[in-house]
Amino acid sequence: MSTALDAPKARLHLEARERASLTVRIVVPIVSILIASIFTSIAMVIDGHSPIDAFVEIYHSAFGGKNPLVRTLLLSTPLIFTALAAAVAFRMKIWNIGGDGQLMMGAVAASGIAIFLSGAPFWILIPVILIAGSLGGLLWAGVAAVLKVFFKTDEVITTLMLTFIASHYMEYLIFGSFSYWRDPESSTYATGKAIPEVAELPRFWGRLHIGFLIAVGAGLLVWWALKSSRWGYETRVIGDSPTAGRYAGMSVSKNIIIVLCVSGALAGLAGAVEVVGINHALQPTALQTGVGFTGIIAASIARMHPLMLIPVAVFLSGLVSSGTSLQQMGIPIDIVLLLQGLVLLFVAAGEFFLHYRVRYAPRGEVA
Amino acid sequence: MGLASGLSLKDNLALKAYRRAPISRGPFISQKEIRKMSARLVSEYDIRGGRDELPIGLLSGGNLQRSIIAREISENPDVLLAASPTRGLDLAATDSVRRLLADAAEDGLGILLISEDLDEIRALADRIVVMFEGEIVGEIDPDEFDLEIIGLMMAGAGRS
Repeated sequence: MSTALDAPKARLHLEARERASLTVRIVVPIVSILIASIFTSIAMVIDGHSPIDAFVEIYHSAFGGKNPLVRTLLLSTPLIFTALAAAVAFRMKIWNIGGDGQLMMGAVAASGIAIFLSGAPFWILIPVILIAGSLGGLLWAGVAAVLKVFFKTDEVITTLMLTFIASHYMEYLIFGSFSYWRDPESSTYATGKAIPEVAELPRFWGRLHIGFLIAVGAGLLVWWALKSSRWGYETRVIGDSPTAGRYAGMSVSKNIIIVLCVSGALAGLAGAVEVVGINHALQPTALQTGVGFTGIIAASIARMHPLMLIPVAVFLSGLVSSGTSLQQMGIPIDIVLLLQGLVLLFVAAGEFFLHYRVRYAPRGEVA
Repeated sequence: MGLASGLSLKDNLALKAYRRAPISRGPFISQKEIRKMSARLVSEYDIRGGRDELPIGLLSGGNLQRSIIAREISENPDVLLAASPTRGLDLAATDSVRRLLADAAEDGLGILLISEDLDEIRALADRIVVMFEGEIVGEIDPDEFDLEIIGLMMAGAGRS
């Protein structure tokens, strides 16, 4: 019995870190991404492709040169907004997973107002459209907020269900009816009514529109607000301990409503920017790409940091944008999705090493 | 209770002061003022092991209690309710927490101490009231402190 319980001569043991150093916080995610790439390579080899060629192609088609870079940044624009939406909510442990639905309602509101105000000058139109888009997302998330605060309904369920409703509503507006949003000329294949040309977002670098700058600006604003406002402080306290928040006299319900509304407004902006920046009409299929869920991935990898999630969103968009080139090489798009999933998995697992250090201690030296 | 253990010491120390000037500035808070207040309380109340950014949950029990007491007393309340403030603390920490409470009482703060630790009551109380099943069953003059009498009253013997 005692021999079976004998400890080995030396062993690894864990030690809690007080706070991970900057080096650790940078090295751990990078190593996690490398490990994810190795596993993806294994899948590629099994499938009969050269991983090195594939990664070179991913780099070239996503970041190598102006046009690929513009394409990646365009893809990352709505992702930055939905990642911000996730980060704001998740920091307070409010699980808003309905970024997609809020994005769609934002797009519905934005395109509606754009068509309605078609005579207005551009400097009125663009701000009004963006405000309408954020209001659309805000109201959609507000439904989940009211249900949570007054009926204790789990927001994971409501935000997800509201996404299905938004998705079908949007399809109904274009494919299922002759609504205000549908282009009456389009009959065989229904499309959205084009917004006036003045309402299209100005472009400043090739096809890259100012929506990208607005997204980065939103990131800065959210970062600053969470750091320096009373609201940001309250969400931090309540996120860590609602009891402590209540003890300090904070209204938990009020903060839940505010946080969900801000989160929804950010996702709604994603929809508005897609309408005025890319689609120039309400195009349901273009908005059903699951960018809300990818936003959760981006925010998680960035550990809910409003500025860190911007490079993460660009990186993930680069993977997606390289998908078509990979397909031309005969590598299925699923490989890219696999890589995305593995990156999330290993970054989440790598989190462990931010809190603990593994030490090799000869037996007897263990405190 | 009253602590957000995943947040830093300074954020916890600001839990009540954050809504007033100088920390609060309209809808904003000043991180500089939070750091200033935190540094003042840390040295005044001898809170150890806590750098400003460290999650407060990593502090020792004595330092946690001292942090809470520091925050509450610095709010200048009229009455402080302390329920088992030294439960689970080691001797040195217990001693320092008791000294903080005694000093605060000396400075005129009314403290309602709830405790089952009779040594603590003997050390701190100016007036002792015994409760049993939610009712006050008797009052004892601290000068005539008698463990046996208090023990019997706590077990319900003094009830009419």
